[in-house]
Amino acid sequence: MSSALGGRFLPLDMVFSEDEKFFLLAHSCSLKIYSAKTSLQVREFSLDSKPSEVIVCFKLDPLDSSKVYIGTSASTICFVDWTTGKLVKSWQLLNIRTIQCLAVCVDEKREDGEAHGIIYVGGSGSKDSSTIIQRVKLSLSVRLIEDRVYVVPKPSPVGCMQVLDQGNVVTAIAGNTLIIGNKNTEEEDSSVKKPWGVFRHYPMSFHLTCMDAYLPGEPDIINHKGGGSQWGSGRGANQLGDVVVGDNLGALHLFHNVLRVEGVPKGSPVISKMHWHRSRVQAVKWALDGKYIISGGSETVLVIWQLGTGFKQFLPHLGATIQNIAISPRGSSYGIGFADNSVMVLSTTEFKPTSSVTGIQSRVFHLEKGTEYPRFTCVMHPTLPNRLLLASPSSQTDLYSSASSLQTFDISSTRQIYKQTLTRSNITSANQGPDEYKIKEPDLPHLAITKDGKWLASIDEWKPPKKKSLYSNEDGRSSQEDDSDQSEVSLKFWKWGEKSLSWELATIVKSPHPSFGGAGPEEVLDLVAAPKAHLFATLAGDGSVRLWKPKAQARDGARLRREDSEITVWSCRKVIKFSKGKRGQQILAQNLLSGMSPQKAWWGSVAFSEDNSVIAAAVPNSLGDDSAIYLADSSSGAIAHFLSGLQVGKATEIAILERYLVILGTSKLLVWNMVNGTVQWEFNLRTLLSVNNPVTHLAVDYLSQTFAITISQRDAPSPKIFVFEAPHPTPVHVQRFECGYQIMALLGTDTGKGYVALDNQARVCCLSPILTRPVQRTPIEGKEEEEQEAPVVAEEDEPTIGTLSGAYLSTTAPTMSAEDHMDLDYAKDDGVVDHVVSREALENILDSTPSYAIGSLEHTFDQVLQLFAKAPLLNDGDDGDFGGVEEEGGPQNRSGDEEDDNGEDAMEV
Amino acid sequence: MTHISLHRCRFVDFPPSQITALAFSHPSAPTSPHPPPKNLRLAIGRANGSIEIWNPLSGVWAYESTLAGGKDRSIEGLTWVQDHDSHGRGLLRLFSIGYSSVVTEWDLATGRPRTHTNCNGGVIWSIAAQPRLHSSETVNREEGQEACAQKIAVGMQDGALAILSTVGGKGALSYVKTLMRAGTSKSRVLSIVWQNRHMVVAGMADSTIRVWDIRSGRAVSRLSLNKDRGRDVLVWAVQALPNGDLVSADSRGEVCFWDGDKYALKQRIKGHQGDCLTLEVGGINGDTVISGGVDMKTILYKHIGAGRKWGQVALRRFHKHDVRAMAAYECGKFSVIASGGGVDMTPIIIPLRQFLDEAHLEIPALPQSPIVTSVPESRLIMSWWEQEVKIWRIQELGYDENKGDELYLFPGEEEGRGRKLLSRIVLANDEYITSASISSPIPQNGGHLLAVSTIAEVKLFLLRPPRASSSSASLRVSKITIPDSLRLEVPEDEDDPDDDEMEEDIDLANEGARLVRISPDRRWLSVVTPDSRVLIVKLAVEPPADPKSKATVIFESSVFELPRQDRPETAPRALPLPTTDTPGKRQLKRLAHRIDEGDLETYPRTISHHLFSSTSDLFAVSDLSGYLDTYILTNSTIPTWKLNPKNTLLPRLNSPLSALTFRPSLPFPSPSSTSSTANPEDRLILITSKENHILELHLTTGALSDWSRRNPPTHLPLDFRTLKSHATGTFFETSQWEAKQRLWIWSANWLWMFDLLKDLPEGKPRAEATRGALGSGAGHKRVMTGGLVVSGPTVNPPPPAPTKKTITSGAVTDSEWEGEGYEDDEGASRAIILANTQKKRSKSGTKSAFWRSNRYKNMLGFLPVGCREEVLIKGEGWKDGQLLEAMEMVVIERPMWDVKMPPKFCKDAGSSARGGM
Repeated sequence: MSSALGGRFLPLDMVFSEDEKFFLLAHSCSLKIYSAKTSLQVREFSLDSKPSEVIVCFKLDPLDSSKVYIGTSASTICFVDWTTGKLVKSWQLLNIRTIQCLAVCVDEKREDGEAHGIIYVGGSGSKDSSTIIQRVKLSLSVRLIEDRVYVVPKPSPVGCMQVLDQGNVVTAIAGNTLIIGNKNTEEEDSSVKKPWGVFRHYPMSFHLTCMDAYLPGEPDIINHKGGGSQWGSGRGANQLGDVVVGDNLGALHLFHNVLRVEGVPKGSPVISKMHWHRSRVQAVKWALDGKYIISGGSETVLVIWQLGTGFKQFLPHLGATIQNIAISPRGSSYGIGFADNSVMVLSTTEFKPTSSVTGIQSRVFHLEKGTEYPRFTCVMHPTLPNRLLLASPSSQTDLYSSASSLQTFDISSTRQIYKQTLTRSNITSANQGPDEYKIKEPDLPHLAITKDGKWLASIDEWKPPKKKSLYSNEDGRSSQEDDSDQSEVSLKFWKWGEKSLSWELATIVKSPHPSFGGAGPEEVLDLVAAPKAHLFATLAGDGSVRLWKPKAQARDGARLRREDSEITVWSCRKVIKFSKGKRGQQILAQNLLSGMSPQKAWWGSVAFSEDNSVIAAAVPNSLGDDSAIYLADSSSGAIAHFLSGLQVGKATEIAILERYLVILGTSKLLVWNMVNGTVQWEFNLRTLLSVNNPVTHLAVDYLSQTFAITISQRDAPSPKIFVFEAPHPTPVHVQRFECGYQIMALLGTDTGKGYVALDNQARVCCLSPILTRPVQRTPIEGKEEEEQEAPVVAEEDEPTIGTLSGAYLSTTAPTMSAEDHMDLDYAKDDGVVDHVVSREALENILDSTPSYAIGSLEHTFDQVLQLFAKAPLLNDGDDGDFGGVEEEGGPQNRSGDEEDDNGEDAMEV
Repeated sequence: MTHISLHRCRFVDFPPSQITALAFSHPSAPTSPHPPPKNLRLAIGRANGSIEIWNPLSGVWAYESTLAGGKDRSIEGLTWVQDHDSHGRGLLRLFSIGYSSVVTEWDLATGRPRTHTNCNGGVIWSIAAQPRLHSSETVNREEGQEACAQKIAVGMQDGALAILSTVGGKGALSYVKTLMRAGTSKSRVLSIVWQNRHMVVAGMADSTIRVWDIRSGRAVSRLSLNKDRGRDVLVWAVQALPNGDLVSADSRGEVCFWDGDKYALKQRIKGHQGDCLTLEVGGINGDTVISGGVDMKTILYKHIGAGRKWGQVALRRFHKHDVRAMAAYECGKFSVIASGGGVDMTPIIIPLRQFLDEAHLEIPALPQSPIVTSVPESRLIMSWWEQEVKIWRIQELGYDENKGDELYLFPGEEEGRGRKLLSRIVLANDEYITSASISSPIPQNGGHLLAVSTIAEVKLFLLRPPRASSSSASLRVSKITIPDSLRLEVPEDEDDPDDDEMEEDIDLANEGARLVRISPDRRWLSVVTPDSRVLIVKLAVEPPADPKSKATVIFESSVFELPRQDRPETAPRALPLPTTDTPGKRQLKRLAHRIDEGDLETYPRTISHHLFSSTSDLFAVSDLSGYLDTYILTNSTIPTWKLNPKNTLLPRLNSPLSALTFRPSLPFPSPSSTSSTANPEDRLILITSKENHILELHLTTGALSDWSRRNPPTHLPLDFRTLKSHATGTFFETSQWEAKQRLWIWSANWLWMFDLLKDLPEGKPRAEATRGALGSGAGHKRVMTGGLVVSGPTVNPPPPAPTKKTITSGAVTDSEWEGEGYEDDEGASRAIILANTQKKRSKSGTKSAFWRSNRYKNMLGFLPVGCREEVLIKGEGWKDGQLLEAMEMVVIERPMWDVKMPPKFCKDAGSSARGGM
């Protein structure tokens, strides 16, 4: 188990080093230092503390720019030298339970030699639930001194706080109130001078989201990155400063002249309201000269307000919601934090990105009761190690944003390789319908990649925005039907372009599973790639599996040009109909059980066997309370076997590992021995983790011949990963996860590195087969692992890859006699299974001689024919109808198919 | 019990006219300690050439009169000038321009143009008056009058500026000089302002602002604006700040601030998406600028701190279309901007200094005096505006056996269902109709008399029903010639008997009239002349002898001029300076130091309402200063009208009346008949425009009636007293069958009903203090959640359900009294027999004495139609032989969404705007 990689950047303003060569970003438990030049991580400082303690705020120490203060949720202040990554000192605050924000006062004079720094802390008080702002004097030797400065009247958290001008002015926002405190003012009616002056309140109509204050002449104070207290007392005492706040509805309010060093300006301030943003203003900052305001929000537009003229400059199409804006100390660049876990540094002059850092852009959320589990779509690249391909939404935290683009992420270096949009996308444009509902982008619910990494298939799904139904008590079925009527589903095939280093679209199939009756496309429930061929299978709500294969077509007139002389078109080659499908079953259910409400959920999962010969699909049975599993021959499309009554509940995922069919349902984990036709073993999930309705994931690692499952639930203590070998019910390994995280995806790497788990904090863990050894940098040690993996494989004492089909269907494999008979009986019983010739036998014939040495084609054909003809001879001379099937032209077709297969094999090798 | 069938009509296609200019009669005096002067008026110029005069009245905003325009006339600019008077009581004079080379001076008292002065140049595009001479400034003797009088600068199409002098008092406007042309002939002068008494600043159409010194006549400076993508920038507005700096608004949507000494650009702020058309300056030290543009936005700019620049502070969207004209006025606490949407016809009063804290006041675009009337007996509705009169018939409701207890419109064609346009009369003369009156039907199917007046003419028509043989339903219109020489009988004055019955002829037809009315018994025609003389002439209407012939109308040979009681000067507060006073003029002066009061001469005595009692033996007129004159028909052999002997006892009201009506006597056996046997209908109900007081007076005794004594104005519901829009009309509901005296009062946006048989509950004095308090003169204080609520839109009522033009008659039942909702108007032609309110009454105790509804918007009228009838009801739930009184009312609405407007300039606007922004 490796330590977690990746993760989510906290929505905190990035901090630039004084020379702008580095910038600092924070994950929930670590502070990362990146070089501005290379965008690479230089250093990292991790909090080694309880997992529940997270970084809340961090600010550069103005006195010593190599130090940074970090405030945590457990009310600890860490003083860290970021140039070395060492903790200098940490203090525990006593009066504050949780730090909400920190503000460092630049030039407040040290009162004595002991004091090391003075920090203003806003947070919730430890004694009561009130929100307080206090001044903390830190020192390296003595205990810290806390002075309560101010108690926020309403217990709303302090959203943002700044301290200006030697601690004279404190500005903060809490809830919908702007608070401005001035030390040098006195209450007009009381003669008692309070030590912290008068705090003024400016309640606004709406919740305030961001704030920035500007006191002219002190640009470096504003941004907390200044170099010291060069601003003496020579400054004019009646210096006036402005504050800008942004609210929930998208308006910026500019309070003119509310800050004043000496005293409070008379009268009510002039407040300008600037409303451009359509929704909540996420970040606002003053430019260093105070002439501009920079703001950003979910419109993905950086707005630069020129205050003097009312002109606005826009930097649109930044790709994701802007969450934070920071301005570098010299004003040469803006640091922008986005909601899709990326950070960009833009130069202020030409708006060119100078560096950017992108984390894993999976969804981040905290599960709450009643929320639907979002689906994480990701696959590992089969050939390139450590490449994680995932569908990334435009905003990590927004559960309702659709994942519409494909991010390829290198989990070893934690860098994004590239990002590509696979569906039509409209993140950056106005996406509100007339009734204020959001128009979503198509979602990418399924991705699959062929084992050679050349082809990628993706499903995108678009549903019309849900309108507020006028009649809420209308029965759910009709509204569901309406939904599917208007939704759009398309299947896209992408070819890896070696030159362009991106996925090139080869084929779009609109509505891959058109529903009968023309009622719109059926929802595609699963998409898998066959392990050994260029073959994809889709399972949809109509209860059928479609197999998709490519076909090369010569392009007209393209022969003259050498390149791209042929294009590949994917098309459906086979439809295997399993059940009546969603609608059919609904109708059936209605007819049969008129009293019962028709089932609403429909699920499905499909899996290929390792050698493509068998395809397994799990769909709900006719009652909808259990899963029915169908096994079919992938080449002929005939249904070979049908399992039901297994009581696995809703089958979330199925997989075929050698001869075992692994079914992970909501109630059970079941391993079915396909050869014996018996249940090998089963586990009630409750025995593994006592939770209701768990969220489960299943992954298979063919290399180690193991599979892994995770079970987690929102209120479960901690999720676990169990690694099993198919024949034995005892888990090979159980990996416990830290509390509070949910594993959202589990993948087998197929490159020998075991499993990759993605959690709900956008972090990736590698679970590698070497269970004893902690692996820090998995990719580098890939080779060793593979070697060390061998014993594990050997232990299994099971037939190696490729024998499944032989074991299951072939008559030629000598080692499998028992199963052979089983199988043949099985085949006879059904009377459907075609005679299958083992691949080895064919290979012997076809590949025995190099192609240049092939003699006559007739000879080869004879040999092949012989091979096929052998089967009935072995079959105890039984029934003729079997042979009759063959005579109808089966052999030719078959051999042709096999040759196709062989060709592909050769290509793969 | 009453059943009211309600016809909800939207077919009256009154076209509101665009507002093109706004002007206050006085310059702003923000630092003044005084309340606004009593003579402060706001003139609203409209594109159809009419000018409306409004009295701000410290925030009451009472409509006073309309200077009627005419065909093909337009008002493009307005300005007020006050004649110089050392005590500040010079005459206030109103000048207008409109697509011609003529400057027009208006006579407010008569509503007619006083003089036209041709400037001998091109078409005038802009007008501005010289600032008034400050009291501290001294004038050399020899210049004298000339220097004291305000000059007027007009800007021409060809870029020339002319200076006119107003010296010489009333009607005198003389051309002084043309300033040297500085630009090319292309440089239209779009806007003009006086920077001080010598400098004229003109915004031109060629991207420049030019400054002239009128002493030398030379252009002093040229302020150039950058061209906008190669096109000339049009400077739509210029204004001067109190410190001499200039502000301009241009077609780029920018507001530019210019240094007033060096004529250099200081700052430019781009706020508008489209052209910025208008600009106003306000604030104590001129620290506020407000601009409006074609993007419907109104933007507030403020000067931020000393030494710092201007900043755009707030943006709101009051109007639904172009904001074309604005006028600001401040005096002490009173601080408003009157903002006229150009194409959006609605004037909106915006608080200036309290822009963010107070709500705005929207004045309906509909005329404030009713332009619709009905003849219930004939089911007719008449409307008049501009040059046309239209008469419709409202169809009767039918009773369908199959559909149960409901009344339906008889089926007809879909468009125009339920109504029929019977006549459309378009007057041939240019002037617009000021008033029209239709008589009750002449017996024996004789039709109706129709009196129509313009400011120049009075016309009388006979409307005869169509021949029985003809298929068309339209009325036959024939003109009745008014004899051109009628003897004018001026009432004999006891004071000078030597003036013995001077024979004087009057050409009544060409006298013109503000108001005309035919008495209910068709025997009298009253005419209020433009100069507010009350004339009354007796008509003898002979019903047609047989169906073929037509009714004859004979004028009595003499016209009586009814004397108006001379109102005293404000004698108790005798002014020390009665030198310039003219008789009949009242001086309003509360603070002796006030020097900007101005004078409107006889304008405050202009008659705004006149009314016959239903028995046609009482007659009342009221004027703008709140005086009433009442007349009684003497029952001698020759009926003559005499001034009510008790007239002197009638009180002067605190504000002009917004509506008045006679209270009909109870036809029901009245218990109080002992006191007023002589004249049962002598009670006059008055509704004032300030605080909407309802008063009732006995004209025979001159005293307040019992009801009014019991229900002083403080007992009126607070919601009624604080209504911002004033009553437009009333309807008195009585019943022949039961004791019922209900007063329905309606305005454009509300409908109230008072049951005069009941007493109002006592009001709570506390609430009055809080909500009745006026702010800066526009809307009330906004409800705030805290000290500084910057946003938060004011709640505007949603537009009514878009029922299209067909007549829809819903039903008001008495149950609506209880505040219950009733079937929506969408249900078209349906009327519901009301529920038994008697039961309800017993259930819910006594009904309150008033009821209100805000359901109807932009009402032109709430009028009775059809005859009241008694229906005998049988059936389930009804007592045998129970009587139901059926009555029909028409609500005539003119929804603004139905008014055709030119397409909006800014397509994008509105999508992102939320609420008040």
